[in-house]
Amino acid sequence: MSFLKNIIIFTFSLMIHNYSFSQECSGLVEICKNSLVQGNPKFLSDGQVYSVLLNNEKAEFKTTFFGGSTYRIAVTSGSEDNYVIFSVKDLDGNILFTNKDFDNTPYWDFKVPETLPIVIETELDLDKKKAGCVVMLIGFIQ
Amino acid sequence: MNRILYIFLSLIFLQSCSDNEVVSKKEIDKGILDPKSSINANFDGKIFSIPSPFQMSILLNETVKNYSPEILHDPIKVEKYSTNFSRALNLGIYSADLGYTCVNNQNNTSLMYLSAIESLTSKIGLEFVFDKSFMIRFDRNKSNLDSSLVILTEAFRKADDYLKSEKRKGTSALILIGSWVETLYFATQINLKERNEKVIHHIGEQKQTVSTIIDLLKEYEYGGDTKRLQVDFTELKFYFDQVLVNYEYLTPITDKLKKQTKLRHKLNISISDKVLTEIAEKTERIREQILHLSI
Repeated sequence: MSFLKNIIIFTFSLMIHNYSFSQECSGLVEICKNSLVQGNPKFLSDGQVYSVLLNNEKAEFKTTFFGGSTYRIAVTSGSEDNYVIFSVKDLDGNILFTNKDFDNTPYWDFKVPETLPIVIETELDLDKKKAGCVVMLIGFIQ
Repeated sequence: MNRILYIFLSLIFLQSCSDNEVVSKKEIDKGILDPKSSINANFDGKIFSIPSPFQMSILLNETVKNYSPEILHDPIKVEKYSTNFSRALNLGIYSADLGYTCVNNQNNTSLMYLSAIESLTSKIGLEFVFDKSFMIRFDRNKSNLDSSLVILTEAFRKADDYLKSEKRKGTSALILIGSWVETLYFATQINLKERNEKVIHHIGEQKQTVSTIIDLLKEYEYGGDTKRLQVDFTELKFYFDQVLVNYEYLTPITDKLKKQTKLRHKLNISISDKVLTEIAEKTERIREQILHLSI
């Protein structure tokens, strides 16, 4: 009985947590979108939403910046716009940009004359936020 | 005791309703406890990115102005897709076709593809994205390429957001994979028709994405013929591995006021004719396989 009760409590907590995570991330997408659409001409979304629950870890993913395009990377993790640190590296690990050098600015543009496979690394600035959903959007203009 | 059990089972049932695949009890347990599901994403932080099919069409259009309708999938076939697996992959195919017709200002054809997309999305729970108000908005802006691309890319972002928040990352991934296959097919076919060095360069640029797709296919439970796709993409990767990429790092220039970094690296891509032909043939076979799913 006690075992069953524990399973029920665990599963229920997991589902509540799961639901809260989804809700938190969905809310953040709209905030992040504001950074993506700032300015003119408008950046086109790459059609994907990158979200991850972070605490003291880093999340990274590979993508390709195509030559002849300008890209915008926008990030958020809540009401303040400086919670997230993101870095762009080449596949050899050279840091091409980190927003840490610019007060964790929530977005940055990249002019890309030639195609480059890159790694985007995100983490929370633990001095400002300990844990939460991080949302990133990528836009481009030709 | 019975009451607790009833609540527990009801909650499990509600949780399982998030995807429209056939779900067995075994799969429910797997879904909840899956260390790779979004709730546990902090354990591995895995995120995937596939290039936008709209961007690839724009890049191809900048290079080759001739419109080639014969490379597109037939929108009439849309009704033949009867599983979530085939619908998601072919939604990706039709999305890329829509991107291609849009950037080539084929407004009437675009509406046919939009109609095919509307039909598929309504069957995989995305009817709110391509609803009547979206269609009206798109129709009003269809003569303005910039506006219609903003509307379309935003709609696909909305669909992706919804699928991911509903823990249907597998469906989202299949759509992206389908769209990527179609744009690679465009590039290889356009180049077969008339050799073009810039197009060949765009084909070589896809090397990184093939690996991402293989990782994606390993990551989620898709149902359908996933194993076959994994084998096909592994073969495609074998050919892409023979694409030579020569990279030279140069320090980028960052402009704080413009909030912009200009990359300055050099990247040379070299593909032999043999490898190019093999990539084109393999891409065509994968596409044919997707097109004939559930038909």
